[in-house]
Amino acid sequence: MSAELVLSGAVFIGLALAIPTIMVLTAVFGPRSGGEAKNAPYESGITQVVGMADQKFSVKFYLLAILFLIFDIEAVFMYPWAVSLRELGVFGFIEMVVFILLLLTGLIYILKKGVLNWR
Amino acid sequence: MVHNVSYLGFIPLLPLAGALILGLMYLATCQGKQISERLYGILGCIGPVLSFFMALRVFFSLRGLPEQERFLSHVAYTWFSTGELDIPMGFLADPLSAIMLLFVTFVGSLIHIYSIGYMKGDARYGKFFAYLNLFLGSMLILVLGDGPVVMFVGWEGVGLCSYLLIGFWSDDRSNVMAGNKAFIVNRIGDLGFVLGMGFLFWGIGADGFDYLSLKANAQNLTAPVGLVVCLLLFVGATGKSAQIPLYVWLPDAMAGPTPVSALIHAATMVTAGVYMVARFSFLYAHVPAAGEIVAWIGMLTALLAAIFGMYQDDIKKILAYSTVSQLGYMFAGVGVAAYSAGIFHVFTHAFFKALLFLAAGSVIIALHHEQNIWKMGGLRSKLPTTYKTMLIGGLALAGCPPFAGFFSKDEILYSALASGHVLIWMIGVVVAGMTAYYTFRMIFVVFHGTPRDQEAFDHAHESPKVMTVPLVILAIGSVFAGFYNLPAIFGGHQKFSHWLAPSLVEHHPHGGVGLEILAVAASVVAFVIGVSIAYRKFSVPVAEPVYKGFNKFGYHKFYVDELYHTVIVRPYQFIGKAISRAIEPFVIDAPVQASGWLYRMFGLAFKVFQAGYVKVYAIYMVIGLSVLSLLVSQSLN
Amino acid sequence: MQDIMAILPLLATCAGAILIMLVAAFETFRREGISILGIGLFAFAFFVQLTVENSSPIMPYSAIFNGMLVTSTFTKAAGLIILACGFFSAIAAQTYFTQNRWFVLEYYCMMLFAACGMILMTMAAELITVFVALEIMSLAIYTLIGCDRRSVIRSEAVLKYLMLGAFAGAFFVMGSVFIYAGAGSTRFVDIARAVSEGGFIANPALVGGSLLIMVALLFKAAAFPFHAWVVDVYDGAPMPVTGFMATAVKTAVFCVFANVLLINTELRDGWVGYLFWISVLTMFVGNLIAIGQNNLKRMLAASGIVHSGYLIIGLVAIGSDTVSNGAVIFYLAAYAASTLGIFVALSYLGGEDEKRIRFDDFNGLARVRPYSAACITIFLLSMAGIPPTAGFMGKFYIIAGAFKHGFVALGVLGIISSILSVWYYLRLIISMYFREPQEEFGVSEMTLAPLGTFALAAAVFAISFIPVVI
Repeated sequence: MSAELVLSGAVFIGLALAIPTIMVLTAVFGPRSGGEAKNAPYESGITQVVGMADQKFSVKFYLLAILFLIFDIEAVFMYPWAVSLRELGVFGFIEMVVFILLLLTGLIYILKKGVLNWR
Repeated sequence: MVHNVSYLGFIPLLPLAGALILGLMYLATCQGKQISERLYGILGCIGPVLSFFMALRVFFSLRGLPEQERFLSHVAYTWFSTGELDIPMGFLADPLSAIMLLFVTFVGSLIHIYSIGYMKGDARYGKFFAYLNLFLGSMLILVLGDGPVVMFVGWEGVGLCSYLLIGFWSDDRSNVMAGNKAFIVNRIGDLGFVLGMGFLFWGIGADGFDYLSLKANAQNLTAPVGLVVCLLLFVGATGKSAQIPLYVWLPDAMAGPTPVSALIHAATMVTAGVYMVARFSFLYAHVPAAGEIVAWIGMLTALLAAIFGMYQDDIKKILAYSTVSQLGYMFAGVGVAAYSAGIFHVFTHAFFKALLFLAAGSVIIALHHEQNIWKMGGLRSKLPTTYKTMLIGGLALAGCPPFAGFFSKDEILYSALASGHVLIWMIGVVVAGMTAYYTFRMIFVVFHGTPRDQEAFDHAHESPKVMTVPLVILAIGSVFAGFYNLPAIFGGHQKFSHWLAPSLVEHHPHGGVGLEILAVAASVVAFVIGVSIAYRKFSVPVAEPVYKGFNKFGYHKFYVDELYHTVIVRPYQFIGKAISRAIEPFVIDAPVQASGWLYRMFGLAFKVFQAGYVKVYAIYMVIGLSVLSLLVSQSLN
Repeated sequence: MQDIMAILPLLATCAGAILIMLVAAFETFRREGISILGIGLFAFAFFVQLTVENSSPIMPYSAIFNGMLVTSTFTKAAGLIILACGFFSAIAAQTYFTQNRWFVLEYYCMMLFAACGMILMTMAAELITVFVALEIMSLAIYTLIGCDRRSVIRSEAVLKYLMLGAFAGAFFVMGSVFIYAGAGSTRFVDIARAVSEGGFIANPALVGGSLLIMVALLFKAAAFPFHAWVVDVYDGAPMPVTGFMATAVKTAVFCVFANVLLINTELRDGWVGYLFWISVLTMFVGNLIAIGQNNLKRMLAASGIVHSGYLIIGLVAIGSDTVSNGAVIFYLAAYAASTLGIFVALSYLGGEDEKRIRFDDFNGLARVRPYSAACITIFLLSMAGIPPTAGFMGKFYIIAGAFKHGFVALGVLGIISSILSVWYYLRLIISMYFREPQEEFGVSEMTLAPLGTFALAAAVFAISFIPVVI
């Protein structure tokens, strides 16, 4: 049995144990909130599903969704990159580091602007 | 063999940069707190003085070169290129331009320094120095330009600056009118210059439009074209150098501050025409007929201006007419193909005319801006330095040996005689006598006799050092400048003419010692007669004379200004009025107004399409796309 | 490494944008500081662009990044114009914010991002890259227009631009798809090869694809019949943004337009016939819209349409010789200097909330602010094409190029249009010089915009001395 297999096996087992543990812990210790909005059909801040179309509604959820999309695509980009990493060599590595760093600056900006604070 | 030296470009650049800096300083502060006059004065003098030192450097580098290699050039950048023609912003220093450079920067610097004192207390002090620097810079471009086009830049520059400076005290309408007159008359001359330049280019400009190429190709110019070019260029020269028929602006140019008059008359502007003719000596040498005309016009101008000069009341106008008269000599000189003699007179004239003007300025300031000589008198005791220097200047102007003016004027008269222009020579001698007369008339009336205006006399006092020191320096120059071109009969070697030889195309006439002695003797006799008449009439206290008959005619300058006004200005105004009243409103305005109205109606109609609805705009796009697709698909089939 | 060197200005702009973004996030600087930083970064990027060695002529392509990008003296000149426009718009913005009491820290960041997209666009040699660049630019511009969120006018403008821009963007993507179907690649080099092998007319996918791309580019260039948004959007945008849009965006779009037409002479010739009519209609419709306006900003927007018409005249002859290529970029420089000059001047003359914007509001300006009025006159004369300004030289080169390549009718119509345009340019000069002032012009605080105006006025003359051959 090669070292890589042992390592990856350990990672998978570790993850398999860690994820349920975290879920349980959050269920036990996390704050709870309930109410009408929580039970509404959409969780995106649209509280009233029927009625006039030109009413105001919160965009916070969409903002987060778009931010998620950016980092999601970052992950998507990394798949083809990882496949051809050997051909790309050091230059390819640097390129990806630059890419991630750019997104990181974006993340810092978002954090400082308080976009992630759910007010 | 042309040597490339890069510092050449800095000579005009320094005063121009000075003008820019001073102008910006003045503009920035003209409404708020004023910058001290001292700062303006120092900054204003730096550029000209530095240029003078660089001119010295140019002169000595040229001297260090073999005679036929005395050409320094520098191309700063390509100014413009159209088709086959490249016009570089190029500078050329050869013996001719080096001499011009030297005295332009030298006299110019002195005038700048003098202005520090003269302009004291003027509200537009900074502006004055900015203009003065610009003036000098333009003149340096004119002198240093390596071809007619660059020369033209400087040519127009000095024209503009003369306008700005003559009308400098623009509160007085007559000053503004004088500035306008100078500008308009100069424009007429400029037209001649531009046309001449055009013909010259058409003739031989294809193989390079700088002096050296033109000189090499000059023999390819056909005689008729050559004559046309020479005459047109001379029209330009008559404008700038105040010759018949365009001399009328120069006496009026006295409206400007006195340093400006000195600068215009001595160092810049008026010498430009003579310089230009000498510069194109390779053309004039091919067309003797043109030279003949130049010489005659020059001598007639000298005569006419000398007559006018005898009747003037205004100290500056006397000097102004003397300048016109001396310029006539210069043109007579270059006209009879004695280019070096003409340029030599330019050179000596720069010293004594600057001196006379600055001295006159000193008198004017001492009497609180009084310019009428009949209000002066006996000032010898009050203004000793001014008197002495002005006397030296007067002697030089009148052609008293051994002062500077004597040698240069004699050189011209001798050249005229030796080349067979006996009549021109005779007029020249008469004019020399008249010059001596009006010069000493002025000096006697102003400095001798008794004071005519006792109150002004009592308040008069000698000018400050910053004004008298330039006077003394110029006086020294006026005494000794003539020895630079001492002819053989006085034991000299005509160094000046030899120095200029590489730049000019001229043949020195050989008339023999007899003719030379005749010329000298005639000049001296004319001088003595002129001075003695002036002495008899004016050394004793006399009141302002009343002129009658021919004298009245002369006093009113032969009514030339009135003639021009009646023959040219009035009909011109009449035609203008006729057009503006009859043709303009009905033939031009009506259709233009109608089409304009129609156009505006169309525009208002089009506003409808800018409805402001996004959906409408999107529909426009779709329609556009559809039409385009339709057209494209049709072209496919 | 060569490739990296070639895109150094792009990287500098991008790094500058990110720097300002972070600075804005940490709120290290206040308004004044961040303004100076933005101006400085534009200046820095300009000098980086200036130092990039670039001697290759416009044809053939000197491709970098595997043919994704192209660099030439043409792209370099366009980059310089864009960054200079950014610099002066930033100066205008600094003053504008001093007067207008609203400010967003990210303003300069968005400007730099927009410049980044524009520079990428000038260098793009591949359709997807063009699209990405176009969107980087457009998104930043949308944000800039709408950054004053309290204002309804700004929101309306950004909505119009966003919707129509997205519409045009869709055309572009559709066109790219068609071209990919026809040529099997999105790189310009391969498209050119496909055209020269198979022929242009014979390949309907290429024809349709290039039609759609042309429409998208004509939309961004504000050419008839895709011009309608211009007046409303320019009017709605804040003054410095309008100036930036009118100059830098136009430069970038025309640069990429030229690059697309340069793909292949056969492709270009296929389009010249249509561009002829589009150019003529653009000029005349622009003129007609402009004369009806009483609002200065709307007039300038409409005159921008007219100038697009001239530039399209320049495009019909592009690629045939170096002078024609140079003429377009020269015109862009001349136009940018004069148009931006007016917008910079209006930024500080307009007063709070751009209340001074109609022709009549400028009555008697020459008496109150003579230097500013003189500068505006210079800009207007340059736009009208009166010698000795750069605008005249630009028109001269463009129309001379049209004559030289046999488009005599186009040249003549260009001259006629130029004469018609004098109408509305002179109107402002008349207002400024020959009318009595109605109200007092407040003298604003000492800011940079007047200096920028003077610099641009000087540039209007300086540019006319630049030799046109690229």
